[in-house]
Amino acid sequence: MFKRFLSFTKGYRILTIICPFMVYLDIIVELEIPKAMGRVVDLLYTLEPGSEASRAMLTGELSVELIKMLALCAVTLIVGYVASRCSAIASMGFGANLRRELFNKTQDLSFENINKLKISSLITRMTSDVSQVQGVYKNTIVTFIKGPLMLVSALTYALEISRELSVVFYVALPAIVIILALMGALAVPVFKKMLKKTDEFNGVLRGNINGIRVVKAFVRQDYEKSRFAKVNEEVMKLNIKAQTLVLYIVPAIMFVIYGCMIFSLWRGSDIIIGNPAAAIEGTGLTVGKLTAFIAYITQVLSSLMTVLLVFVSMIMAKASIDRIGEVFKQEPAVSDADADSSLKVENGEVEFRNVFFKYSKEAEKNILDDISLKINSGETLGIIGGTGSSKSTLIQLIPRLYDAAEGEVLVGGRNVKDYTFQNLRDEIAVVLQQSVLFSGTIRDNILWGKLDATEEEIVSAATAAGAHDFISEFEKGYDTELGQGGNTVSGGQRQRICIARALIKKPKILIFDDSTSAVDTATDAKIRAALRGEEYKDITKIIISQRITSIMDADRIIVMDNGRIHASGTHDELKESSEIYKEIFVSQQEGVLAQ
Amino acid sequence: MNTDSKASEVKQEAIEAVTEEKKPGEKKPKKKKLAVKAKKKIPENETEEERKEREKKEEKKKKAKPKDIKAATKRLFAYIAKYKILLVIVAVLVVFTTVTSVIASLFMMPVYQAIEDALEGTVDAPSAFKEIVKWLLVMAACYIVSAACNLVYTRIMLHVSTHTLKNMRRDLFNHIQTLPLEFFDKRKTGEIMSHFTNDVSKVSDLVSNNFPTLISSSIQAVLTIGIMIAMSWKLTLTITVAIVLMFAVVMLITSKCSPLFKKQQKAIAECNGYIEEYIKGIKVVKLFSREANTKAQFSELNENYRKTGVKANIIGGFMGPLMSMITRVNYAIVVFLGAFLVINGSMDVPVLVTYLDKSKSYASPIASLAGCYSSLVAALAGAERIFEVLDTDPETDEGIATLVRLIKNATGETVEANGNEGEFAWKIPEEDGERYIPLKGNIELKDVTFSYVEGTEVLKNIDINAKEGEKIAFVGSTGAGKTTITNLINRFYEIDKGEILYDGIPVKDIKKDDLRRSMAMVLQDTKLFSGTIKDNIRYGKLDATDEEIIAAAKLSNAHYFIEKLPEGYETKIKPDATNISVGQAQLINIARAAVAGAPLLILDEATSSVDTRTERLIEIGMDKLMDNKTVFVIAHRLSTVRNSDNIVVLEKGEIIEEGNHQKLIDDGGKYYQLYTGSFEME
Repeated sequence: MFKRFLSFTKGYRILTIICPFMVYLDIIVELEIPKAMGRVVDLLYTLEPGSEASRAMLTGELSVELIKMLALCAVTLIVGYVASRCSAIASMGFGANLRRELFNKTQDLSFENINKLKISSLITRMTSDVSQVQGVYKNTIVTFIKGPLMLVSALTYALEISRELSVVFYVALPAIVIILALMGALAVPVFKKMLKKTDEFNGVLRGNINGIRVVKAFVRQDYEKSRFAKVNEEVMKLNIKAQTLVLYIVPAIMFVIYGCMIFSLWRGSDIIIGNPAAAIEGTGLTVGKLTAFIAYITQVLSSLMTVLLVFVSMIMAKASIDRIGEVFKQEPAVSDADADSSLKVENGEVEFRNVFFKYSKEAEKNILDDISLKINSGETLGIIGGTGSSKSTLIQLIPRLYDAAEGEVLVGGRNVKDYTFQNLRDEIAVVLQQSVLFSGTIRDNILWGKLDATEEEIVSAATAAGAHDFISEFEKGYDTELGQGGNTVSGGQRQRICIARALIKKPKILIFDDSTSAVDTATDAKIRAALRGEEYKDITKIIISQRITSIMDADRIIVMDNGRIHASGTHDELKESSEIYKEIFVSQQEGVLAQ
Repeated sequence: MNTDSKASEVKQEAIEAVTEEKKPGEKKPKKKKLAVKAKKKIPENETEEERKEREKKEEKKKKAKPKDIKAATKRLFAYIAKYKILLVIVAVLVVFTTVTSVIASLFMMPVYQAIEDALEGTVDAPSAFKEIVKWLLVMAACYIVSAACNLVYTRIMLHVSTHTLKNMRRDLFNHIQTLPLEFFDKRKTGEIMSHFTNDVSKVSDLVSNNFPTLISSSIQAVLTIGIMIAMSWKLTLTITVAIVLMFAVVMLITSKCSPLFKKQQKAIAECNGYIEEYIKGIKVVKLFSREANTKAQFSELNENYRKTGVKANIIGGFMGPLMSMITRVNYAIVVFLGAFLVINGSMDVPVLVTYLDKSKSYASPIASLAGCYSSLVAALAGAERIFEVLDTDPETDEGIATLVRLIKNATGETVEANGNEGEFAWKIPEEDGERYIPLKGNIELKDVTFSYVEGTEVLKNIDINAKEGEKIAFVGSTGAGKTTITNLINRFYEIDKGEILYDGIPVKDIKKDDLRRSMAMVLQDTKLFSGTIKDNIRYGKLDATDEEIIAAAKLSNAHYFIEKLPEGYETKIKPDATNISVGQAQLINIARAAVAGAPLLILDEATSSVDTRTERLIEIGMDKLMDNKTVFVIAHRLSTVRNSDNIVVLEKGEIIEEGNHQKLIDDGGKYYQLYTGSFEME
């Protein structure tokens, strides 16, 4: 996993390495400053105020110190700029690589994988999780290196000033680690609980707002209020519990820092007073050095905290990393790696041989149960059956959206697994139950079926799909912009654009999965008539519908029930032989008769 | 998606909260600046929709920061006024914390002085050391008091802020339960949710963080700068220059950055929008073998985001180094000038050393005060949005008639029943006692006109007379006004003109809750709540027994699929009911209405996603349920409405045909056209 994430730094590795170095330079300067101050203070102590010598020093040694300090400031500015530039480029680059690879990966996944991961969760993984990881990456290259470096350098400086005083760190450093670790260990589970509760809180709230009509219709306001009050109270309690633990951190750390300061002042003054000669000569501990030491205490301890906090953020980001890693780990359940790319679909014959299917290996029930069916090239097959009779599942095996668990699916006389996805799907057009359109114009969407289609082809496909008339009525015609998901047109119109998109492909096999449900029966009939026309007549057509009228004129109709083929035959045959078919027919009969 | 991103947002906040809290006091000005910078950053993980919403919100914010600061503050105060005493204690403790810690740092001076005295020999070593220990003990005492006070006041503030948060949420929730549907129609769910999350937490942040910070930072700033001036006004002057410069830099970079960050924001929104659209539509992508194209297009958007992001972040990231340069240059100059003053004899070295220590810490309280101001503005704007909701008028209800059940008692007298037995009746209070009208289910609409938006009439002069036990069907294209009629009967909306009578009583005179209790509705939108299937059916009647629930489920034909689920009636409905099909959700909805046992039934496209065979079975079940009940049916599928007693065909808000199936077919009008499929019904 680590290796995979490392690969996303490609192209930004040098910057990733430069960045901490720049930060390191910055730290050196930062650390130089207390030292310089210490030197100035010590210089001042050696002087008689107002004397000639002191004035000379002002222009001499002191100015040198000042210039040195200003020069260091200039350096930090440059260094800081380079560092922020490096971190910006490297982290954005890392994020972009990660996002791109993840997106590409999902494009190659099969539906079994996607169903397992869930579409909504997949989207979250690609958006918020990636952002989260990118943020941690940026933080890490800036702070994670900086923290330990600063810690080590500040400690070195402090030791240099006084080994005797530095014993304070033996106590202070472990104390801080223990405090934070303890708080972390106690607080993290509570925070997790709180976040989960917050999800529940949002769920109750969203449910109430979305279902306000139901709430009002059933007069359940009081019930809702008490439900909300309960979860509201729980969130608050967990919030208090979690935050209370965190509250102790600030005073505890204050305690450690101030303790160190007082200890150093106490020991320091003892040492200085105990050996005034060394202090005056500057060989031992001086007041200047003591002040510098105190400044380093804060630096040592705060850099330790930085290190620990980066650790915490990395642990918190681990969930995101794991979620992303899970996507990368998926092996496409359906793959065309072994396919022969020279093999093309010869004709529109489709055959199922003892096909069994279930959505996951663990599932007990077979969704498709021993299906054997042969559809000849150019035949029109109607499929009818109740909700959950697995009609859609059956046809999704043809373009290999899923693979059969057992048995074989053949297209053009060859097993579907022999073709590459591209070659197989180029000859199969499926109009799905859910009419999915993409943002862009109507033309863009129809062109999905055939990128290089001419205007005539577009119009002809749209006409056959019964879409040309309403499209022409739009002010901008085929250039009408469809919003995200095609929200600007009605359901029936969406379905017809989807049909046009499929027809323009001129496939060998055309599959309608209840794709005229929102279209009126008359238009539906017109579309079917167009399909019987010269242009489309050789195509194998598989039509799933709830409406008898949509399939009654098919060459053959199969009735699905509970994952099995319950009956098969023409309309007239089934009307007599199949109970289920008869029942559906009767319930819709009057409409048919009226026609 | 929404839930997830919200959750992660919350997580982010929590993480920030943890890290923020762990910083040792306000010791490090540099960290503060980072925090300020982080606030400027806009959330990256939002979708197209969220972005639009946010932009809209930002627009609003720009236009109307707190309009009336005074009023908002006043009402906000009412919320925290409950905790007046606690807040006073907090204020005192904050003052203690700050003053003690500032004073403690001052005791460094006598310590250094004592060392110097000892070194110069003016005081002998042991007594100097004794002096030092004395000051150090005082210092330690001060720090302990400071830390203890800090702990106590933060704990109290936690109590106050979380309770305020809870109270505001409770009031908001309880209030929106009473609001008319127009309120919900006009707003997106996310918008209303954001009152509960963003707006409320901004207010609670204000309470929990800003209140103590405001006090402590002001004291700290005043004390520190005061001490510095007292020590040396000349040196303090240079610091003033630095402060001004710092603010100028922040302003400059922020103004340069914000359009860049906005661009970056737009780029990420486009990126995320693309992800959302194409992951949802991945089946189509695969079926059309468009993976390569999709990858290429995404790569372009991703690259665009990277480029704009790099630009924005480079400039944004420059703020930190610039600020630290200013502080460092300032520090160097102070050291130099201080040395100059010492040499001139106008300053002592220990004073300079303490002064230098102070000069490092003056910036942070000022920065946090500036931060306070901006979050105060944000919180007040949030508070105003909350109050706006709280100020929205609830549904009006002048009804007096209530729904009761009547039974004959042992002596044969008719009395009101407490339980679920007896005949339904309307109880109307009158001057001399009360009058009971038996509930029959006669609904009469007389010349009803209605418009959602003034000027555009959705229903025009509607007359309908539904008699006890009749089945009335509404047919017509989308927007014809079918659903609207049912929404008027249960008074989801108020009519503009005309009258609706329920058993002869104007519906206006019936208490809304009782009116709605008298009718069970199956709504077009198959809304289920989180919880088990059983919970969802029980929603129709909270005290229903398991037997009643199963009976209702059998009636609606839901029982058979529920039984097949591994957990049966205990199956948890996932958010947005993704684990069951739309058709199954509809069956549960019908069961929910069935268990309610109300005398009137409204079915609005109740079976649109159920196959015709199952629908037939439901119909048979419902026939039992609907015996002697008045039923209103809206259906897309004409087979559903065929055997209604009266079919009302609507077009553009007007009744164009009316009668039973045979009559309408014989008439050969619109219904006939619809029925034969020569007219599209959408």
